[in-house]
Amino acid sequence: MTPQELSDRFEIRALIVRYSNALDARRFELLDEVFTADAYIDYRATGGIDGCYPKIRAWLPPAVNAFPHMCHLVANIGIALAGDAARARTLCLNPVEVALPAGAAQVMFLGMWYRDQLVRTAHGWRMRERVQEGCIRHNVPAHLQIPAARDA
Amino acid sequence: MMSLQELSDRLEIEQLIVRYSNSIDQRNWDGLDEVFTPDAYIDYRKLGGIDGRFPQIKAWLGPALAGFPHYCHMVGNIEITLAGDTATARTLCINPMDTPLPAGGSQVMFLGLWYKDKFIRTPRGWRMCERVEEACFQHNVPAHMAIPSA
Repeated sequence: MTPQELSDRFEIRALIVRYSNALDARRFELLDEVFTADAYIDYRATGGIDGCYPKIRAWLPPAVNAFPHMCHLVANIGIALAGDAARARTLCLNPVEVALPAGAAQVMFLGMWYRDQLVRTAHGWRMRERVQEGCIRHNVPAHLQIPAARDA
Repeated sequence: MMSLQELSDRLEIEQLIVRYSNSIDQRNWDGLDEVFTPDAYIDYRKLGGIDGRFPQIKAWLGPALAGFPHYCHMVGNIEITLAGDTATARTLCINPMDTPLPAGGSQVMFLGLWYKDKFIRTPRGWRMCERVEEACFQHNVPAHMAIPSA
């Protein structure tokens, strides 16, 4: 690998981690440094919405603040570089603490992949598309509606 | 583009974070001498442990973890901010712990936490000079265990 390719791969990995950390720290403003302004995001595989970044950015805080604790552990980051564009596939293990209607809480475990399209900008690499693909669901509380993962 | 120096620093710090997990999970307490500075400050209080300087923590770890037959500290989401010869990082850890039950048998609890770390470049490579835990989720914790809620 050339130094340029090493650098690109490091930056893209850091971008994917920055998304998780921004979400998990509930610092939604940091997502402005992750996505392009017109990025397309699709959370429908785990019961969310899809749309362009400004719509998603407004939707996220109330949607996520319903969960007292959560984290988005990413791994298996497979990156395909093509000059100033790139694609990545990333596995995410996502434990989410859900408050129960009768009180107390329950931790559910969601597994998913992120299919990302990335672009090099004047400010560094940015995500211009992120689409979720559902995998496992474990211990989901009965009152939550999460669509079943489609068969591949 | 990142310089080769920056790429090297980032890989070394990632390896240091992994070395901590592997030393703890193999109960190789002396391995931690290559992770922390001698005067490092460590704070495990968010998950029911103690805080203090490295020598105190190193002596505490063996007995504290002897009660858990199996455990692992899987780290990910390592976000490093470099500043010359110092650095900070935030790392997610998923920590399954096999916990013996008072009535016999055992139960695996799952703890989620973040490490907030500070690093310093030394003549022998990067070392951790501070590690503070921040709690996330807790799943399947046995009733007799006292872990502070996040």
